[in-house]
Amino acid sequence: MGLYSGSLTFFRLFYDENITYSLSEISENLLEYSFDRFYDSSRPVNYGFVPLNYPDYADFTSSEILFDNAYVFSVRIDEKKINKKYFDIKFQEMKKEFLEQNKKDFLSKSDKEFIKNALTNKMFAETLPNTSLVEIIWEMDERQVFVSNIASKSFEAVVHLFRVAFDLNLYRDSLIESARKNISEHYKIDDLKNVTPANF
Amino acid sequence: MALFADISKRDISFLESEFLTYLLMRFFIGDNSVNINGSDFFYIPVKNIVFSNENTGEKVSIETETIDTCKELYTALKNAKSVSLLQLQLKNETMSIDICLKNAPLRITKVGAPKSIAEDYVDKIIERKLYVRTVFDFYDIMIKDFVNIRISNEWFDFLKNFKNFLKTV
Repeated sequence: MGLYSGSLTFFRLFYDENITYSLSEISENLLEYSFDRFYDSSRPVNYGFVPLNYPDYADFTSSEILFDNAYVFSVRIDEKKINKKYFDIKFQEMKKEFLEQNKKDFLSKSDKEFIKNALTNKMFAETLPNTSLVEIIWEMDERQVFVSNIASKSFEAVVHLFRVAFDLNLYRDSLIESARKNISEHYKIDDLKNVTPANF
Repeated sequence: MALFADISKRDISFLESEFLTYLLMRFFIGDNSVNINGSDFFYIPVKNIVFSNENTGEKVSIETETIDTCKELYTALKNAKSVSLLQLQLKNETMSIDICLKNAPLRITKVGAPKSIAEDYVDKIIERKLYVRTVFDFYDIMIKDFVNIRISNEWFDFLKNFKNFLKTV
């Protein structure tokens, strides 16, 4: 699915910053904010850049990122969810064990917090993630980025990564934004905002 | 109490369905060609069109293989319903791309491109990236055309032309 084969559905994001990067700068930043660099098995959500042809190519050292006039890569997002019922059962078991091991009659608030955190970290480390890959086409000349998924989690991950890695603030396309980008006469956009609904 | 409404907070989401309706109307009055980066394309609405009446919330979904002769389609347009989903094909001599446009918010929700003729991995990505770009170029040109006509008196002539067309079907 995506740019190599299958559906070509992409959504557009814009940014206003007038910043340009060279190919080597982009490669360095993609590597610095790559998925493997920041992966932490105890975290519920992990994300970072990966090459387009991931996992055939695991990192950016041997993978193409410049295709014609655009930079193309992906964002890998791993999300783990813990079943609440299962967590509650394990929490009760751990509390009992803690009381026995520490020969205590009751648990203080900090004991409960400690057990809860230990259990959360343990369960996140043991749980398999739901993995998704969001393909990115970055056209620097046009200050626009196409993304293959715009669901809130994907959108947030892509926006965050572009902010920290490239100092760019991405925002969603809309009719007004598209008009603003393509029409140089600003009064036309103001006029458009003042029209009343048509009577077809 | 403020005497005037704050224009920046005005709800202009109706423009999204107006834009989709505009695309359909342009097709029916025979103005469905578009030049994209020097290449002549035309578009045809296909298969599925969803109309909605924003005042009543009523929705009408029309699926047809023959857009030109679909009576329900004309009835919906005569009943002043506006388009909330439009499927179309963008074509030129060598390619045909399927596009689905939706409102609330306005977006391209589906793009089906022709099978890539490139064999090399890089060439394939470049070719398919070009299809994506073609779709968004089409979208931008149409939005630009829509805005330019929508804020001018041409809009009323355009609506009149379309109403005249509806009287003939």
